[in-house]
Amino acid sequence: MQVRLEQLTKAFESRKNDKVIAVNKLDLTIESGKLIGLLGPSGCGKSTTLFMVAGIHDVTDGKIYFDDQDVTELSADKRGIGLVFQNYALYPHLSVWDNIAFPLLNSKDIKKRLKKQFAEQHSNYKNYKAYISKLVEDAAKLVEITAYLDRKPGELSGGQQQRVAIARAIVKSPSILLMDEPLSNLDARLRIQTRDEIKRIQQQTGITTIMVTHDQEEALAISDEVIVLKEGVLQQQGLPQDVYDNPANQFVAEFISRSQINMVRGKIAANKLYLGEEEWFPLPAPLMDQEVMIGLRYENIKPAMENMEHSFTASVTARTRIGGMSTVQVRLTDGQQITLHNNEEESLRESERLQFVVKPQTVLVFNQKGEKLLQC
Amino acid sequence: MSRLFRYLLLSLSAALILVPFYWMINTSLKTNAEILRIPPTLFPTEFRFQNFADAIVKAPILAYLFNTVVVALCVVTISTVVSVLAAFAFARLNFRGKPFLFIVILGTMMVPQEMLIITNFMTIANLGWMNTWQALIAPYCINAFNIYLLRQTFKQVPDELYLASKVDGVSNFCFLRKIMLPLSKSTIVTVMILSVVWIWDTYAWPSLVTTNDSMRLVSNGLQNAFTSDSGRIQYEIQMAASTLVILPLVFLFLMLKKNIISGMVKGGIKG
Repeated sequence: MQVRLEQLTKAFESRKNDKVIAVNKLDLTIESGKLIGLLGPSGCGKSTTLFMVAGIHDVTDGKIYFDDQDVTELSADKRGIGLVFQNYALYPHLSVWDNIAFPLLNSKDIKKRLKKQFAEQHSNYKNYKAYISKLVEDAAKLVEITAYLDRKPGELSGGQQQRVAIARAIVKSPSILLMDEPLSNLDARLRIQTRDEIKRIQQQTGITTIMVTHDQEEALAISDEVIVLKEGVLQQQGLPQDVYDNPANQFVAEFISRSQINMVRGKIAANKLYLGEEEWFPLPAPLMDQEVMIGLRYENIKPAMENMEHSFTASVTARTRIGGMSTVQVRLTDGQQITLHNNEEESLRESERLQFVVKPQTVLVFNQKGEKLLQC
Repeated sequence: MSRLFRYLLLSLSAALILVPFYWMINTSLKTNAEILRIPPTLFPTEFRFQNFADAIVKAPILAYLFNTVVVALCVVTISTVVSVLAAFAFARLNFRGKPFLFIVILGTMMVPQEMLIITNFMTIANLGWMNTWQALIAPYCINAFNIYLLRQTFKQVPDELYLASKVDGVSNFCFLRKIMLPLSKSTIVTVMILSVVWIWDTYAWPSLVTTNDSMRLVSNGLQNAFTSDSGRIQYEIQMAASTLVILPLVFLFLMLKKNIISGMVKGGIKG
């Protein structure tokens, strides 16, 4: 199902009676069947957006459409969504089976729908109970927790608990699956495992899925599309690799790189780009003279042969090696420090003056407001 | 050293609780002559179990017990249902004037029972409820402290559980019955026990609204029944009756010990 947000706004009344705008005039379209990563630092309004789509938060202004239906005023249980919480929100006193079956057995609307479905295909099942069991077992099979159906949530690991939560959300066959930071309570190894699981489950079911996360790696790894928010305002929406390669502004560049990007002061003068004080290369298209910030990702800076095109001079000040990755600190001629990743151990020696080169299409130039001016 | 101190303190507090009990049972087994002996004996020289039979024969103590059990059952049922529903509303639902109403309910806890007793008595008398069951039951059906205690417990159930069931279209009442109540079981048992103990101990109100001996509760019965013809209180029989009255409470405690203790230890519910 397609999800469309139109000028969606949420204002919270704070204690001192001033308004805090958590989500600001958000316009978005999420195509049917996609897995979307809703990404941003904490407090950017991503969870608020998710809960508005879920119908848990009411909307201050704007509209939410599922396909062509306006659901803005519809209550949560009428929207046909599945919701997965950060802390799993499993019922601790019920077994895994009972947790998954809970919506099927206790919601009037779902019961009505299931009874109808059962009536249509009842020849396949012994009775209604067998039909419910089949649905629960199918969901359990999908998330691979069939072996634990009799256990209580407290007897499962975090990753297994999150699978149960996903099973409970999809057992009622929702048209949209919403996940609020589903991985952030898991340890690093489980997180990677579970995120691949989410990808697999989403692909198998084909349910339009929105996953909120503050971890860009998570979002880039499994999303079909990422949406970056900052202070309730949409920054960029696009394919993960595209957002990484062509960030819309300085915020997205820094956030998506997980701070593994150098922001170097520079300037544009007479249509030439200066890195620090050093003249670097001529611009492909004319731009006004101004101070700029130049974004250079660690992994894109390489040592160069003498006098290559797009090279600059710097001296190595420090080197640290963690596992297979060497991080090297170098100083530009005007004293600014930059960092780069380098794996060829021998090529860089300390306090040596060297030439470095960056592929021009990875050089990101931003103006003082953080807007992107240029990507060569 | 600190361990020794801890055990000393625990023994001392245990003694403070147990000595009156011991003295009650001790007295209940003595003969009338031994009770008057000075210094008093720490252990009956001769066990007189006849005291218990006398207590039952001399006063309608079994009838009093029956009355108390009936009142306690009604009060526990009604007040628990009322407390659970009110506490759920205060913990989870949003309605206009909720904070104000909650403060009003808490406010009634500040007013001592003794002050209400006269106005309550006038209400009951005007309704013509003297010597009736409802006079004994009605004033105990709403218990501000129980509402408060349950609300706090309900608030500890994570919001997400409620939201998850809302998204699934589960009704408030169904959520309360299937999720809230099982998760708050120990507090609910504690609340029920508190209600029973309250009824068992209550004295002033039932003696005010009942004049008829057949409507008396145990506490009044114990006070009035065991005075001899010469006006002297027959302690050994009174204590035997007290022991009989306490037994049901002790049984109740032993039966529900696990719940009461886990209710006190747990303090919170993990999500």
